[in-house]
Amino acid sequence: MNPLQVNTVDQVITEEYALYLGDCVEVTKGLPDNSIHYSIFSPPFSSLYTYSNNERDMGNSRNDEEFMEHFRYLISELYRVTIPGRLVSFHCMDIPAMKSRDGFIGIKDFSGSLLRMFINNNFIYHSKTVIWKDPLVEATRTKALGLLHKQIVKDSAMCRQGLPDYLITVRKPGDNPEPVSHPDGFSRFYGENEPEAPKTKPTLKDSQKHKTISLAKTDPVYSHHVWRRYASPVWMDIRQTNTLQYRSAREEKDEKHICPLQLDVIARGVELWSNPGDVVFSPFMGIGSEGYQAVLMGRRFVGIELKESYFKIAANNLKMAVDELNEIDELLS
Amino acid sequence: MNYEKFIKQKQQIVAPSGFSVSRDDINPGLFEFQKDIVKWALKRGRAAIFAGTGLGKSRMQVEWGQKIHELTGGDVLLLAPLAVAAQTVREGAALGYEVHLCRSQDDVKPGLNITNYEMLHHFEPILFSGIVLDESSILKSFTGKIRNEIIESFAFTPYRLACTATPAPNDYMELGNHAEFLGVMSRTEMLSMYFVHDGGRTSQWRLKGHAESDFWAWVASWGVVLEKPSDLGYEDGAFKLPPLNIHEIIVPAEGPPANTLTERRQARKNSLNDRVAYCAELINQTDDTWLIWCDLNDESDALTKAIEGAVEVRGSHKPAYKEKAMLDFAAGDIKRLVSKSSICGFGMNFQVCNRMAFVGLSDSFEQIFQAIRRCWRFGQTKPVDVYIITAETEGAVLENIKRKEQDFKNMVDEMVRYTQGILSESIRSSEREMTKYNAEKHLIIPEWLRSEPIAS
Repeated sequence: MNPLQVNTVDQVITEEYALYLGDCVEVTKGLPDNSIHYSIFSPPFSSLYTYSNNERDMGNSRNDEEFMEHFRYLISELYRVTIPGRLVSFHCMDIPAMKSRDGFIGIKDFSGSLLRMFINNNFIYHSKTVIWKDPLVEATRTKALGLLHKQIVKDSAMCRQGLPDYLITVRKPGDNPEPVSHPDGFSRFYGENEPEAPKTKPTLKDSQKHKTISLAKTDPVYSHHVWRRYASPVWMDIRQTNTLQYRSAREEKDEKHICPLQLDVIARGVELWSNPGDVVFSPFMGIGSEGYQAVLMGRRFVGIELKESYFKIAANNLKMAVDELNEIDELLS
Repeated sequence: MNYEKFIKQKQQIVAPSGFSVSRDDINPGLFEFQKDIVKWALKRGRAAIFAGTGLGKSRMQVEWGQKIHELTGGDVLLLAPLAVAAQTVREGAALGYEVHLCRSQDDVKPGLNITNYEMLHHFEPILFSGIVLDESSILKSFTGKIRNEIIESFAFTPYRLACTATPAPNDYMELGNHAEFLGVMSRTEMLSMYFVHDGGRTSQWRLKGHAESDFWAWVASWGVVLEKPSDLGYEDGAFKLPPLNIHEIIVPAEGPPANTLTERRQARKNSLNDRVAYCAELINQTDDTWLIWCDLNDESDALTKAIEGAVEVRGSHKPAYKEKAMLDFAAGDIKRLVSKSSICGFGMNFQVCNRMAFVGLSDSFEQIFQAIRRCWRFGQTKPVDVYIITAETEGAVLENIKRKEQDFKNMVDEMVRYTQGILSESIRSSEREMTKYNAEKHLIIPEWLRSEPIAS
């Protein structure tokens, strides 16, 4: 089926990636049905941060309802373009409710609201992991009343835990036509404190025999340890500062892009849920973190960004990924 | 709803919803810039006029209200601070209109009606087609409850006008109050749309870097900001003011200089008699009309006793008494008026007087500024002398105020700069274009991105 002919402000198309400058809802409408193997992105967190002054920017919403209404247009397109049985991962957090804006001090279940929208649009809730964040860093940055030690002294009924990030994954129903297979398990690790174990190829490939080998025993320990860490419901081992350098993408008056998605998170999603050569998609490309990591890992990438300065940096970053990949190839050959 | 429709609806520029009135149909008693502002406010249907003191807000209000009455056939209510209501009746008469001064709904007559804010609960807001808030910044000095009551009372009034002096551009709550009163957007929506909240205090908001120009474009879509006619490209002519001379008088006093706010208050109490004595001597040796501002009740008492012919207006007086005293002073029947800027400092035209003394200073720059503006405004023909009498021990009070004044000027310039381009354009025409998203290239789909050959 031919997709709708839509327009974009600008685009960069290569063998490895297709980058579009435009409104992600509009542009996604132009992508073919069942063409995306895996999506990973960090959407705007309702109106918590604003990246541009465009009304097409979902971060420019008067309230959470308007944000959700806007986002829903994207979800139905995401559903259409995703290959059946394949996955969409979104990175998010819950949002502190503020007295002056929300009428109360508390937390808004933003991650839950997003997930429910995906479910209401026929996606299946597939997995969720919590990405640990240091409450002291959050307290220092936001001065949130509930995290300050002085509040313990005053009235701890208003004290709370820090707000973690989540990577939530949903699946389009149907049979996956191309299994994402890892015949040799994992041979590399993305994150802090790589498991110490010999990276030998496993000698036991019989799943029946695997059953009898506990994770603590010898063969194939490395992959098992990696998987144990990736499968953890809480990711304690994400290198928080391992993000694509973003400073150069900022225009003079821009707000800081204070929640860049860590490359480790992207790498784990891409490794787990896509095959080499698959198409990875991000409708909120920003400066291209998802694309950069996906291309480094031998995937193709489709990205959309509304903000021109981010788009330009993303184009540079994607080019950089291809160059790095070629260098590695040359070194190996 | 399709996506395009949704995006259109997200654009926050308020569509004009009022009346097109020809400039020639506007009362010739108005200056050209006033005519254009009234025309624009009528076109919008709901608008705010943030104009510097003395630029004729009362006249514009009356004219706007009169036109709304003529065009809708309905009644219009003006809400004003105490004593300003009676003054506005006179302004209306000068334009040839009858403005009915009312105390309750029973007094309302077809056309223009005016009352003071305190009487609002004697009226039925639903019965009016138009509402005008005079000195609408007063919303700030009311408790949240009264503020909300005013906003809610007129939520169904089709035509609304709010007029006040230019707020400080970082006084976002003030702009939010106005947007909410006009039904443009609620204050909380405004905050989440254009502001970020950082730092530990829940009351502090900062304009999002990106939103700055958009925010002012939005403000300029429902509010006009000007300090002088030339801000909108008109001649200043009659609006050039005579000189303002500020004399700082430091009365010697015993004791260490104050550093903290508490110490300053104490220093003020200790030096009260000296300051009052100085002021009385200064005034009693003249025959001039004087306006004397104080900050404490004790100052008020002492000043009234020491100054010949002084009439005191204080917070505990009955409204009728306050109103009469202010109007008598404005008419020249009282030669010396002693009061606080929080009581008599708003809205009144005291051009009859060109000498004033501050014996006690409030720490609010806005109140001092407003108080000076009672005399130093359009219509004042003589230079205005302001004596600021402080005690040695009080510290650098005047310097502090001058710094605040400079800050205010800078901020207002900034605000005018942001809005004037948009405004002078929209005041003369009425529509603006808001296209930003310019997608004209056909999407290229790479070869490698194709639908999987599977049934979905």
